[in-house]
Amino acid sequence: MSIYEERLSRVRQRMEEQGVELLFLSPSPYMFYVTGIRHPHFDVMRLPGDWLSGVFISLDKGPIFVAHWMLARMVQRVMMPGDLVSEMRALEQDGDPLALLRSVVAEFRLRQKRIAVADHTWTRFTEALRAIVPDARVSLASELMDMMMAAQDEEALRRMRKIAEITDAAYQEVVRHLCIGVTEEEMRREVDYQLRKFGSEGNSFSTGVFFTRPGDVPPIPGKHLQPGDSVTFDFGGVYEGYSSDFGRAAFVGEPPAEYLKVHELVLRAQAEAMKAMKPGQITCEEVDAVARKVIADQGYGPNFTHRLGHGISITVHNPPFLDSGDKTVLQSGMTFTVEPSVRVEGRFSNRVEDVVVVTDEGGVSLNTCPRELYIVD
Amino acid sequence: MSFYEKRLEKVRQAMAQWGADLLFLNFGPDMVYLTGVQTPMYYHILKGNGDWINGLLVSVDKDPILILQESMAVISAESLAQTGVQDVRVMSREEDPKSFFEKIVADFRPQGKTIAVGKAVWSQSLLALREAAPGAQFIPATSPMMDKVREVKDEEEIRLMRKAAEITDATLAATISNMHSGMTERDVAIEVEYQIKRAGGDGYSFYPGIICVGLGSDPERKIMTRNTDMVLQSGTTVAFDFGVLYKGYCTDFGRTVFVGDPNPEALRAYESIVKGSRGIVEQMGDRKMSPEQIADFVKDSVTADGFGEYYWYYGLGHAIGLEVHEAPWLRPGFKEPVRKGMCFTIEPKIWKSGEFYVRVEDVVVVGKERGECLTKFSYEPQIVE
Repeated sequence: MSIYEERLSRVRQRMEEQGVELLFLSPSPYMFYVTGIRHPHFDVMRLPGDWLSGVFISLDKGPIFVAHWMLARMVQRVMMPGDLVSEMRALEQDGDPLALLRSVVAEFRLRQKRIAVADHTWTRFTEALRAIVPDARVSLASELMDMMMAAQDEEALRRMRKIAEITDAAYQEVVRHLCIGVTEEEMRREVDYQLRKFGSEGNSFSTGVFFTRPGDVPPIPGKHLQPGDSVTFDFGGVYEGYSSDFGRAAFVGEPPAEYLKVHELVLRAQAEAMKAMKPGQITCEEVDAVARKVIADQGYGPNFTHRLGHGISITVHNPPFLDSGDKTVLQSGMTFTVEPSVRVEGRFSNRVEDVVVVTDEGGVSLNTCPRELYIVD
Repeated sequence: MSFYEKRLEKVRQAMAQWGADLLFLNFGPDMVYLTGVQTPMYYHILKGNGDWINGLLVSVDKDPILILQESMAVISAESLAQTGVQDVRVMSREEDPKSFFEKIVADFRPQGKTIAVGKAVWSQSLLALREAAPGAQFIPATSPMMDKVREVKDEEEIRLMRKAAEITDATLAATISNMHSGMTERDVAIEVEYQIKRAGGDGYSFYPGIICVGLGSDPERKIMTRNTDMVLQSGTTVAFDFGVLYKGYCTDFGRTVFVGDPNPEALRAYESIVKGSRGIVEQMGDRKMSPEQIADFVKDSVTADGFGEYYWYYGLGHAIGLEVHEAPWLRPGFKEPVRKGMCFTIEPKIWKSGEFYVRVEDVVVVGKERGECLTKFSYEPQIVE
């Protein structure tokens, strides 16, 4: 069975459990997860009937891909072997999208009229659906699929390992561009460029390169790097639809003893949290607490101001979250960023971030990039 | 009156025409148009906690209200500072999105009213609106309404489009100077992405496309196949199709670069589309021609030069502004004369499978008497070794 066939059968199992008869996935991580279909122009091409682009899945039919004929043809051209579509229904030139939707929906015998749609599906679609199935009970795909998508299968892990590799390589090239006089913006551009050079499809989110300078409160924008600055990186790429998220720290000149201690502290917080990340034994909020305690015990509690990490796979942030309040129990194959940081305003900033997969032996980093503090001389 | 105030007036007039008492828009081009607030990158990535709540509520008499999740407010801080909206309601993480939303909507007394909803508004937002406004009627997906309002660009929009066009020109210049045979299509595309940011763009308006054709290259190759590992070699043509995103405004632009000595037929084809382009821009004055006629003009010009068989007629171009593709399209079926202030791409192309692909593309604003290319990069055939 191909990876998408496996995923489809899992989705159908969930549908059955939750009584959902028909699932509509508009272009979204959900559609990509089940079929492998994506196209860079989904967001850009404005064609008649673009609101009904997507796949229809029932317990025994589909995925049926529906779109304007131009988009259908473009998708066909970029489809990879193994991508899962049972058939394509194209909206003809000057065709009526509503009539097409009506004919597609008519093929599914809906008894309870329980239909789930991808989150962020446009109102145009659900309104049209309501016109065709007036007593439809519409729920969201997230309820059906989020937890399933939180645990990665072999194929997802393969891609995430690959983007981690690319991200590591990009960083190791980028960090050598740190020099006196460079700006944050120049560094951001270099990150984006190197990510692409090493094979990333793009950014998973907007790149951050931050210079923290003693006494610089409020921070001046457009600074040129100078001795005494601490530098933190936060960026990620995409490979075959899967995201990375990564961070390291650097210092310009001889770091003060305190900064070196903080660097080790942040690394230790990450390592202890990772050790604790065993399936079935711990919750997300407990993992966050492990890292937080390490940092708070040395007096830097108030300087670690955000959650320890977030689920990541196709999109850069997905549930669950390594955060107080999230009581999800860790499962094998879940992938999280583990990103403790210590930021002392007006003094320095330090962080580390890797993508970690939950295994029986604890959390294992997909990134292999060394975590040493990089010194710019 | 500021330009945001004037735009609000235009929208209110359109609402009156459509019988809409209220309008709800989420982040996107319509939001930028009315408020200057850009779509935060995280909008499409972060989920949950009432993400459906982010939006603008416009009525015919009360001031518009911008509703934001706390996380989006933090991310949008920069554009919020410049916004035309006075009334911004930020929902903190602890609050219940539904009751927060309902309280705001209740102020508009929505029961039984007619509510228009932006074209890309999420279903969950509409669901919440339904619950907050019992008995209200909905006009889903105001595509025609808002799109028509945005058809004619005001002075400020044209100023921003001009700036985006400048950045586009600079991007191509810098890319060409770093271009040479032996690079792949993908290498050139990566260079374009880099140069867009270096020139001051916020990013690309769509994924840049580099298409190299010639020397008997794959005859099955289609026009939308781009950025492959095909190596640029002497005798090939390299077509550019890329755009810049600047403060929400988009360009869509192209030229053709010749690697080594240009194939003479390719060069003649190139000169033909340049002539067609120049010719039609001259004609694009207020109410002088319809999109259909504009498309026909260039087709006829290129056909008269002998390249009719390989001319890509399907679309000479499209309107452009806050979205890369806006209506109307420059092709048969679109008969309403174009008006001053509309912006279009003019993108004639000649495709001869395996031999060459030449294209030029410019963003053109319709003027009183004639059009003006906002993108000003030279039409001189560009040659790299």
